[in-house]
Amino acid sequence: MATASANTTMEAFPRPEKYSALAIWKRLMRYLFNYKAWMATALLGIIGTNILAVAVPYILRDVIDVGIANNDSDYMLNAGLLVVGLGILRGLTAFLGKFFGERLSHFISYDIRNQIYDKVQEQSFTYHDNAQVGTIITRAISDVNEIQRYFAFGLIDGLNVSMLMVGVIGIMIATSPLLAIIAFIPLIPLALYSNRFVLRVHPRWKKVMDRMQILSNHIQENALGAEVVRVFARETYEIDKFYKQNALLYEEQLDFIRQWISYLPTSAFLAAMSTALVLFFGGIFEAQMENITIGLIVTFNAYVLLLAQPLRFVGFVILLTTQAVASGERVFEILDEDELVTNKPDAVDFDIKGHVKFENVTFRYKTSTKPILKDINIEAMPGETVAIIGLTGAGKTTITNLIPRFYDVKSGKLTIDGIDVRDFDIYNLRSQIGIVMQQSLLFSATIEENIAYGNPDATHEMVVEAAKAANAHGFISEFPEGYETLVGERGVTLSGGQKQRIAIARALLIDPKILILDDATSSVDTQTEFLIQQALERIMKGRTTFVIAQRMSTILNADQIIVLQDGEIIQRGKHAELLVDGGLYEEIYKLQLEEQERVRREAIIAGTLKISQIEEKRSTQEFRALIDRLAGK
Amino acid sequence: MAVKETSKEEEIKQQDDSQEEEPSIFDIDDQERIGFDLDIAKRIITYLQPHRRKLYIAVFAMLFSVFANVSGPPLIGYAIDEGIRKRDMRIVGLGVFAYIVIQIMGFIGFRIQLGNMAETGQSIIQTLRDELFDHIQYLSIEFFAKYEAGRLIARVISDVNVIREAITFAVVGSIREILMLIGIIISMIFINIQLTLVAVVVLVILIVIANYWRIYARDAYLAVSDTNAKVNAELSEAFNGVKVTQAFDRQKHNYNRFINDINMESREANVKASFISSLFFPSIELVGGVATGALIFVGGTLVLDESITVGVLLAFILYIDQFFFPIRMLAQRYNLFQAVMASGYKIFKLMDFPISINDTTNASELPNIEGNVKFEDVSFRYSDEGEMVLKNVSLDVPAGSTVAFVGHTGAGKSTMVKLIMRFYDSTFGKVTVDGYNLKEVTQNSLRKQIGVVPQDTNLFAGTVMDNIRYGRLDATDEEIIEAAKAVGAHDFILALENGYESDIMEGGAVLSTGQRQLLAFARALLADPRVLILDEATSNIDTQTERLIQTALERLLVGRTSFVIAHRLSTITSADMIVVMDHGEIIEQGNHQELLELGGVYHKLFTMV
Repeated sequence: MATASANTTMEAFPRPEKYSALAIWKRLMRYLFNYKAWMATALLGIIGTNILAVAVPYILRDVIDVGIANNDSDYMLNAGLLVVGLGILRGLTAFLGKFFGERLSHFISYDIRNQIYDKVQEQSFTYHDNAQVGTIITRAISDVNEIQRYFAFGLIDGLNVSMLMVGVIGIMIATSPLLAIIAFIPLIPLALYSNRFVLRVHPRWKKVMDRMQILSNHIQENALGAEVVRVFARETYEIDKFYKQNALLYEEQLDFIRQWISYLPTSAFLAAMSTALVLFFGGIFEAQMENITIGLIVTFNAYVLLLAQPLRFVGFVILLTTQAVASGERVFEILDEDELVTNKPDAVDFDIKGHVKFENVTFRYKTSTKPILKDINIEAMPGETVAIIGLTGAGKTTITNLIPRFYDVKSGKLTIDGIDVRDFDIYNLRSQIGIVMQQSLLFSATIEENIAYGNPDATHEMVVEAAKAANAHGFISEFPEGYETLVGERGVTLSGGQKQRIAIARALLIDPKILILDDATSSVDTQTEFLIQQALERIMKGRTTFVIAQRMSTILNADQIIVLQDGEIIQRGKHAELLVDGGLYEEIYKLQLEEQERVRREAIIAGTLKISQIEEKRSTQEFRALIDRLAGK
Repeated sequence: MAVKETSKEEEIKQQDDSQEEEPSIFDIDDQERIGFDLDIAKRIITYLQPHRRKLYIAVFAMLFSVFANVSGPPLIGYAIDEGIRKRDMRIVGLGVFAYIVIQIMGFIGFRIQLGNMAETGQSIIQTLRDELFDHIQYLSIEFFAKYEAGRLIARVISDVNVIREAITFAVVGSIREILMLIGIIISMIFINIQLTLVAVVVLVILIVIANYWRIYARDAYLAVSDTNAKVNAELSEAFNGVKVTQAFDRQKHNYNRFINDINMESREANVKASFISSLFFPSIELVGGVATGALIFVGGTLVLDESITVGVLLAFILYIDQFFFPIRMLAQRYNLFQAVMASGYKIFKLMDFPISINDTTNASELPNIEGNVKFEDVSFRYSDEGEMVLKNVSLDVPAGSTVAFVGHTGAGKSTMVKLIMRFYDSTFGKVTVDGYNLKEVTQNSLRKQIGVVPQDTNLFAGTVMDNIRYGRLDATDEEIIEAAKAVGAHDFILALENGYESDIMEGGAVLSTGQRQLLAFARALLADPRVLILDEATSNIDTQTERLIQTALERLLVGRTSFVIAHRLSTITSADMIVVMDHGEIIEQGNHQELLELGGVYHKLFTMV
C-alpha cells in the first residue's frame, strides 16, 4: 500500500497557494539561522581551502622561474616548506569546510523531520482521511534527504565551486589573458557538455527508478497473491510478465548508463585537450613573449586540472538546487496545512461523568458537498449504552468520531456534562475517552507496551488485569515470552481476534468514563467471537458507551438503539419497540441477526448455554476487582 | 515452465544437506554481512562466463586508458624539457601530438571498457532477476507466509543491483586502478629513483589512511543505513497509527521519543559518518600538499644539481596527483566487494531454496474430472518434527455437493483445502479426485480444474477486465462481462469511471472489500472449475453487498463440488455437508439440521454467537 501511494500525486493536499521558487529557497535558507556559527566556520574553511589551492601552482611557477633560474637552493627549501605548511593548513580548512557544512545539513534535516512529525501527529482526522501515508513518508524521508543534500553539497560545494572558478579564471586572465583564452577553448565545451549531461542523465535515472518501482510492485503483488497465482496455475504467465518488465528495465538502464559511458571518457578527454593546448601554445609564446615562462606554463597546466573538476560540477549544483526547491515546496505544503481542531486559548480541564448530548448536530466532510450527519439529537446519561446501527456510509463512525473531537461539528453542538467539547482541552478530553476502533491497529512493540499505550505508567499487574478482563491473558500467556512478546513486523503475527482483544485491554487500561466501540465482527471463529463479545460486555459496564453494533447481544443490552440512514436518525428505541416498527431495523435484523437470535433462544431454553454462563460470571468477578483497583490508584 | 524436473531439485537438496550448519533462509538478517566466500565468488563468476569475450575486450581496451593516464606526465615533462626549454618547436609539436594521440586512444579504450562492462553487467543482472523470479514462482505458499514481500523485493531488486554495480564498474575498474598504480611506479623508477622513494612514502601513507578509512567508513555507513531504516519504520508506524495515537493522547510521548531517540540517533550516525569522510578527504589533500612540498624541495635541489630536469620534477608532481584517485576508488571498492558477498549469499540462498512440491517424473495429465473428492486416511504435518495437524481424516465428497468446514482456528480446516489444491502433499494416506491420486497428476492439470476464492481477495495492478481475465486468459470481453453479470458485479463496474477499463491500484485500493470479493467470484466463475474452494471473508460488509454476495455465491456454487471454510450462517445452513473439525480430526459430520439435533459441538459453536 505504502509503495503504491508513494507513487501517486498529491491530490489529497490542497495547495495553499503557489509558492515562488525564490520564496521557497529563502525559506529553506532560514533554517540556517540556528547554525550561523557553523555556517560561518564552513565558509571560512572553504575560502581558506580555495585560496590555498590556488596559491600552490603560483609558488610552483616561482620555483621554476625564480628558484631554478637563479640556482637558489635556499629558495627551494623555503618554497618546499611553504608548500608543506600550506598543505597542512589546507587539510585543516578543508576539514572545517566539509565537516561543518555536512554537520549543519544533518541538523537541519533533523529539525525539518521533527517539524513534520509533530505537524502530522497533531493534524485532525479530516487531514488524515484525505492524506496518503505513503506520500507523507516519502516527503519526510526523500524530500528531506534532498534538502539535506542541498545544504551539504549543493549550497556548500556550490559556493566552493563558484569561488574556485572565479579565483582560478581571474588569476589565469590576470597573468596571461592570451594563454587563458586558449586554455578555455576545450573547457567551455566541457562545462556545456557537463551541464547537458546532468540534464540528460537525470530524467533517465528517474525512468530507471520508475521501472524498478514497477518491478518491485510486481514482485510484491506476486508474493501477496502467491496463492492466486498457484490456484490459477499462472506461474508461466507471471514469469513472462516479469521477463518483459525486466527486459524493459534492461533497456532503460542501458540508456541511462550510456550517458555515463560517453560522459566519463569525453570529459576526461576535453580536460586533457586543454593541457595539450596550453603546452603547445605556451611553448610557442614562451619563445616570443616575455611574460610567458616555463613556470607559467606549468602553473597553467595545474590550473586547468584544478578547473576541470568544478566545471563538471556546475550542472550538479543547478540540479541539486532545483530539486531542493521542489522538495522544499512539498515539505512546506505539509507544514503549512491548517490544523482544523485546536485548543481554545481558555480551554478547560474537567473530570467528566459521562453525560453526552448531541444537539441538532450537522456535520459535513471537507471534501464532500453534502452533509454526512443532519440534525442529530442523542442524549446518553452517564453509564448508558447507545447502540448505533445502519448501513455503510450512514454516518455511524462519524457520530462516534465527534465525541473525542476528532472532527468539529459544523452546526449544532455536542456537550459532555453540559460543557461544549470545543471548550475542553483536547488532550484532557481524549484522556477520558476509551476507543476500540474497527481495525485493531497495534504498534511494533511488546504486548505489554501495546496494552499500556494510553497509560505508559501502568504497572505490570494493571496490564495483566486489563488483559484478563479483555479475555486476552490466556493467549498472551501461551507465548514463550508472554507479555514481552514483540508484535508487528519483526515479531509474532496475531490473529484478528487476538488483536481486537489487546485493543480492548488497551482501552480499558485508561479507565475511561466514555467508551466508544466499533464492534466489528472480524474474521474470527465462533469461539473467539464469543470471547470478544464477553470482553466487550464486561468493559461496557459502568461507562457511557457508544457502540457501532454488529452483534445481537450488544443490541439487546443497549439502553437505546439509534438507526441511521443517510445521516439521519430514522428510528430509535429498544429492540422490542423497533421490531414492532418494522422499517430498516427489521430488515437489518432479519438479514444479519435473526438466525443467531433464534438459535440462541432455543439454546437457552434447552439449557445448553450453561457452561459459558458460568465462565461469564467468573470473569465478571475478576473484572470487578480490576475496576476497584483502577478506582483506588 | 510450470514443470520442474525432479532431478534438479534433488541436486539442490544434496547441496543443501552438505551445508546443514548454515542458518535457514528465514533467519538471515537483511543487515547481515559476511566475509569473503570463494563459493559465492565462483558462482558469480559463472554468470560472467557467457560474456567472456566482452570481458576480455574490456580488459584489453582498459590497457589503453591506463597507458594514456600513465604516459601523460612524462610526455608533458618531455615537451617542456626538450621542446619549450630548448625552443625546439618541432619537439613541442611532436610531444603535444603524441599526447593527443595517446589521449584519443585512452578515450576510445575507456569507452570500450565502460560500454562492454555496462552491457555485461546489465545482462547478468537481467539473467539473475529472471532466474530468481522464475524460482520464486515454484515455491510453496508457506514460503511466502514466512518470507515477507519486502524481503523478496530486497533480494530481487537491491541485492541484484549491488552485483550490477560490482560487475559494471568494480571488476575491471579495480584491475585498472591496480595497473595504474603499478604503471605509475614503474614509470617513476625509470625516470628517477630518488623521487620515486619520496612518492612511494606518500603512497604508503595514503594506503594506510585509505585502509583505516575503509574500516571506519563501512561501520559508519552501516550505522547510518540502520538508523535511517528505523526512522523510516517509525514514521510509517506513527503516521499509519495516528488515529490511535490521538485517541490515546500519546502525541507528546511519541514526539519526544522521536526527537530524542530515533531521529536523534539517525542524526548522530550521519554526523559521525560525515566526520569520518571529512577527515579522510582533507587528510588526502594534506598528504598531497606535503608531498608536493617535499618534491619541490628534493626535486628542486636535484634540478639545481642538474641531476634531473624541470620536466622530470613536473612529471612527479603530476604523478602524485594521480595517486589519489585509484587509491580512493580501491578503498571504496573493497567495501563494495564485501557488499557483493553479502548480497550474493542472500541471493543464492533464495535461489537454492528447495521446491517442496514437484511433479513426479511419470506424472500424468489429469483428465476432465467430475469432482468426486476423497480423503483416504489422510494425516499431515508441516515439517518432519512437527505435530500432525490432520490425523487419519477420511472424507468422501460426491461430485457437485457443497461442503462447509467448521471449527476453531487451527482445527485443520485450511489444511484440508490446501491438500486438495496440492499446496502440500499428505504425509500419510492419499487425496484423490475421481479416483486419481493427486500426487500422480501434474500440478498444472489439477489446478486448472480447481478454482479458489481466498479470504483476502488479491487483485493485481491492471484493469478490472484484466483481473477477471486472470481466471482464463483466452476469455473474450463478452465472456468476462457475462461472468461479471452472473455474480452481480456488472453494475458497480459500470459505475466506475472507466467501467471495465478502470485501473485497479495495487492491493485493489479503490474498491471496497465486498466489490473486490465479487471480482474474485467473477474470476473464479470465468475459470469454470469443477472443484471450487472458498475461504469466506467476514469483514464488515454492508447489507446490500452482503445480499449481492449471497446471490453470487449461490450462482457460483451450483453444479460444482465446493469446499467452503464458512463464516456466514447462510452458507453453513444450506451446505449439503457440514464437517466439524477439532485438533485435526473430523468430529461431526452431517447437514445443519442433523447436527443441531445431535446437540454436540456444532450445536454449541452455533449457539454461542
